[in-house]
Amino acid sequence: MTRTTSAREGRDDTRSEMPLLEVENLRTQFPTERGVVKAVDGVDLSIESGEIVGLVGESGSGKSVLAESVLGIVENPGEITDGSIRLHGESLREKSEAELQQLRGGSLSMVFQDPMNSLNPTLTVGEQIAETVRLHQDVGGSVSLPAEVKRKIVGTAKNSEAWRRAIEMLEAVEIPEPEARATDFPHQFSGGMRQRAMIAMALSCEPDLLIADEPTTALDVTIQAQILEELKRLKDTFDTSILLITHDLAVVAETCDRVNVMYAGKIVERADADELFSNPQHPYTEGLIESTPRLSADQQELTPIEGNVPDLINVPYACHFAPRCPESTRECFEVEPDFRDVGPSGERHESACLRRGEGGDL
Amino acid sequence: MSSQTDMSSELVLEAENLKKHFDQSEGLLDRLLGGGGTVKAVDGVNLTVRQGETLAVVGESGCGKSTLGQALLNLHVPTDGSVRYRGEEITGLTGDEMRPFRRNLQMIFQDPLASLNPRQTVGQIVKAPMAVHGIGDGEADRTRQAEELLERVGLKASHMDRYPNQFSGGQQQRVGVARALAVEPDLLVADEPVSALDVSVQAQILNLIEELQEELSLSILFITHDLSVVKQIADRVAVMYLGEFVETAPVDELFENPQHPYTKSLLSAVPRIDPEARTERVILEGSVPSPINPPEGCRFHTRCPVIIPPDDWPGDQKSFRQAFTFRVRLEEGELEPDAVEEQLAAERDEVSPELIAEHLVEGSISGSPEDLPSDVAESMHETARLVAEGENERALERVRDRLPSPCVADRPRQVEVVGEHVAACHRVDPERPAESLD
Repeated sequence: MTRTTSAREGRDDTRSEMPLLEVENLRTQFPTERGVVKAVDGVDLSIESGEIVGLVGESGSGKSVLAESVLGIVENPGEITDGSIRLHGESLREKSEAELQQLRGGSLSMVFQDPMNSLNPTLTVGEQIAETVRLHQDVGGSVSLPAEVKRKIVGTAKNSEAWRRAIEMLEAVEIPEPEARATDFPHQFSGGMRQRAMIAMALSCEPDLLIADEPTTALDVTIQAQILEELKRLKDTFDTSILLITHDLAVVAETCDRVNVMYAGKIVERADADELFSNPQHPYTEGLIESTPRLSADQQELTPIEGNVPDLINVPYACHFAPRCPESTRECFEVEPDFRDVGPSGERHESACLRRGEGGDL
Repeated sequence: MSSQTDMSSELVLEAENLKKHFDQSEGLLDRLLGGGGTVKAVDGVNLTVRQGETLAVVGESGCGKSTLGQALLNLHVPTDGSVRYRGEEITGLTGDEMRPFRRNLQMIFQDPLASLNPRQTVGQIVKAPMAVHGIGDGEADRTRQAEELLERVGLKASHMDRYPNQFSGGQQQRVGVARALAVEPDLLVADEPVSALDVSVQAQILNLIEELQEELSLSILFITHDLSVVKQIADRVAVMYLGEFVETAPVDELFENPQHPYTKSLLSAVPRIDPEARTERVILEGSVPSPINPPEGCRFHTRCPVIIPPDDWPGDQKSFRQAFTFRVRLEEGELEPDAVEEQLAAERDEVSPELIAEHLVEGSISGSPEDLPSDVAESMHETARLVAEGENERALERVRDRLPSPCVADRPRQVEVVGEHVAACHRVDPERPAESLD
């Protein structure tokens, strides 16, 4: 670990005044035969340097599409139709594909749910990490096509900087015997080890922002605990901000500094993690918490949210949660809810519900 | 339901020493030479399910819990042991012989869409088992019953003519429940019935299952990986690890007073919403070993944080755990001197077996070898040297001799903690006093 301390200690402080990532009024849509799916529908999101921000929502809430939009990898025919995405104040939407490619895996990297589908099955794990390092960091070693092809056949030189870095990274994510494991193929790894390898690769270029989309959903709970500890530790070691996307409230509660709750394409509530879970203010957040089985002894009954997540084509009501909301009134179907401060003073706690906060009747 | 009132009528399902092994050998040669190995998916399980109770079987992926559920219903022919339904032996019955029992023993699956025929309407799906078991007077009566059932599980009678893909995941699972209930079963085996569902919908289905259980006095074997769900729905819990039950207890007792170190670490690993509810996390090392040739003695010993050191161990338990990891890695063939040598050779001019051994030890134990008792560290280094020189057999002999543990030597027996609380761990066995921790 000591070998891989952050090289960014002397970073100038002017940067830290603006958020690391700032997403404003983002809209991402998918045209389909039945109409336009508004997967992300006017979302604001900001991430400060060195924090873990949670984005929590059920399937179909648009949380993964939001992540893909930030990374510039929204699948066809989906497209970003409005809004801005700024990393370090620079607009990502104005960047060319080549520039984005340089960013992805470099200062902006990602970990997905299924590590087996995101690792190349035909290359050893060490090889894949070394390749990332060569492509994004100046470590010597040509990245021309013939040079890369040769490496794919005979393997990266074991004394190269890139390979050493790969082993260091595997060691950093606590894979035992990293020298031996680096020469293994992904199928020789267990699920937890694969996810560690993915994290090692994502962090190999010391990204400023790591987007982790359901990184522990496919893993057993004991392995999940290992990986979440790992993420927290690596955040401190590498000074990386993390956007953690998950459906699991408890994972968010334990891991994140701040939380955004997303429902049907919109963020409905955001606050610091402790504040959000001790004082939820949006009926959807409340419903989610009430329907989550918990180990604490005081919980007797689960209270499910009635109904289902809406189809995101032409949602005909203003607040997307209104039809499932136990508190909704006629106004909720007609008037777009705005964000209001709902927490105790001094807390950054906002909820988009007409019935809460100033002007709300509850 | 049966009107018998003696104790045996209480027991709906009983399994005794149930085993299900899968032969991995391929072809004659493998079979003659004993190659391929045997996956011991379920290896000697005893369980009982009583009238109206929910027994949850909880474990991580690969622990054999799904195979257990299927073996209990005779969907897998058990390798050994017996299963009795209300006292009647059902082990090894043929399909025809099993049919009358099938009416009483039904199943709900994890993936609702995959378990419903996409070409049949919901009505056909729910009515088919009724027709097979001769329930209802003709088609019209069955249709009426099916409509009632759909309404009972929270769907509408008008949904009869829809196809499964026209429903959301939660609704599909409701159809799965309706189909299972169509034959008025006695016992349901529910294999991860809510794992594929969103949390708000998951709560709907869990509540539905609980309501139906009360109303119909159903017995349920609930298979899941999720301890929070267990807490919500179970009366009793069995914790499964590598084909065996390591601990069985009434639900509150298990959560308040877990005895087996595996149960403890599993519980501590569950993330919690309430900050007060969080406990200190016991992070397990490594992952679950292969069920082909599972570890000897206590199967959990390879990962157990409280493994018992031998009587003459010079250090504390923590240092034994640290050193023992080296033995585990060696036993599992995870030490690779060649790869280490190659890497070292690329970085410097000369590589001695000494250097490789040093690297092997450092790479395989958590923390530094210096934390170990000095003669242990030395012995480990010598063992690693044997590995570096390719003398694996001798290395193994040595490490087994130097790092023995009662947890490897003997299988722990099932010890009664209190009442129905049973755990299989040497540390809870009063006849095997082990030095306590702290």
